[in-house]
Amino acid sequence: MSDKREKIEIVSPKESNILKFESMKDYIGKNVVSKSGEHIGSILDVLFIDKGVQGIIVSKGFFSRYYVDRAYFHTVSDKAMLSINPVILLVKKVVFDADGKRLGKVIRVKRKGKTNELEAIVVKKRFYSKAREISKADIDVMKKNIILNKMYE
Amino acid sequence: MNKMVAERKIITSDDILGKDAVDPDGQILGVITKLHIEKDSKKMVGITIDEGFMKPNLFVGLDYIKNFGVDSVFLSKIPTEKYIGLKVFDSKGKLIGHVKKVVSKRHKVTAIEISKDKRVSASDIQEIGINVILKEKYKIEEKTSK
Repeated sequence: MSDKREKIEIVSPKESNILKFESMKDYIGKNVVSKSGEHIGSILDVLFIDKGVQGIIVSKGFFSRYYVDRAYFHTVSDKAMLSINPVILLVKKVVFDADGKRLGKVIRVKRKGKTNELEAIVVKKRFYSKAREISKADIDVMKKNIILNKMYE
Repeated sequence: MNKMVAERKIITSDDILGKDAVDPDGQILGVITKLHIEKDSKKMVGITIDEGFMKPNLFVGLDYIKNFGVDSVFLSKIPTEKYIGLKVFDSKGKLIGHVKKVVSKRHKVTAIEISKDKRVSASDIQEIGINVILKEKYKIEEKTSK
């Protein structure tokens, strides 16, 4: 993004070349892509601590917002590439058991604290049906949708 | 009654037609619309999957069907045709192009063609998922036209 930095007067005791610095403008609005290449939103805000970038707030649609720590960044260039597939995005994915039975959709994800480590998913078939919790150990495939490694009644 | 159904070894076309075909990634490829039966041997040889509007139907041989489930049919291999049209990014997220053709050997991807004369080897691919992401030091093989 050109902001005509080369014409700007510099007031600094040591830096004379400000062209090498990154601008916040370069980050905001940039698309965020998960490890599997899925577009998962765009950067809404960049959070700093002690003068360093700590993480980004990703916006997906009108209401969905989440914070991704810099530990999960791979690169930020044309797009912000993450080194993970955020497990919170498993919500709304369809769950099949090992026998091909459709158990419903993921309504909630249980994680280890606030990390990206999955502990269990909560699945519900219909609005009025009872939700069931499925442990990570029972999950066989967790990509486009979820396939379990055992059968459920 | 339910126990009887669970123990049933023989299923009918009604148990297959109209069900979702699910690939090993969990992606629902489409709905099963046809069963193919060999006239002479009278055995089933495969299924046709209707992939939806503007997409060609997909024939899947019986060898690539993992199991006939209750609500869906699981495939044992990902049809490589599925990758055609996916976006190809470099490791920094720069769009390189779209997958035009998939080169595979025994259903294992060996290379992808981005355009008629540009090809990326499978060893340079970091991930094929929702899109294709290449490794940091990837090489694009350019075919020399005669």
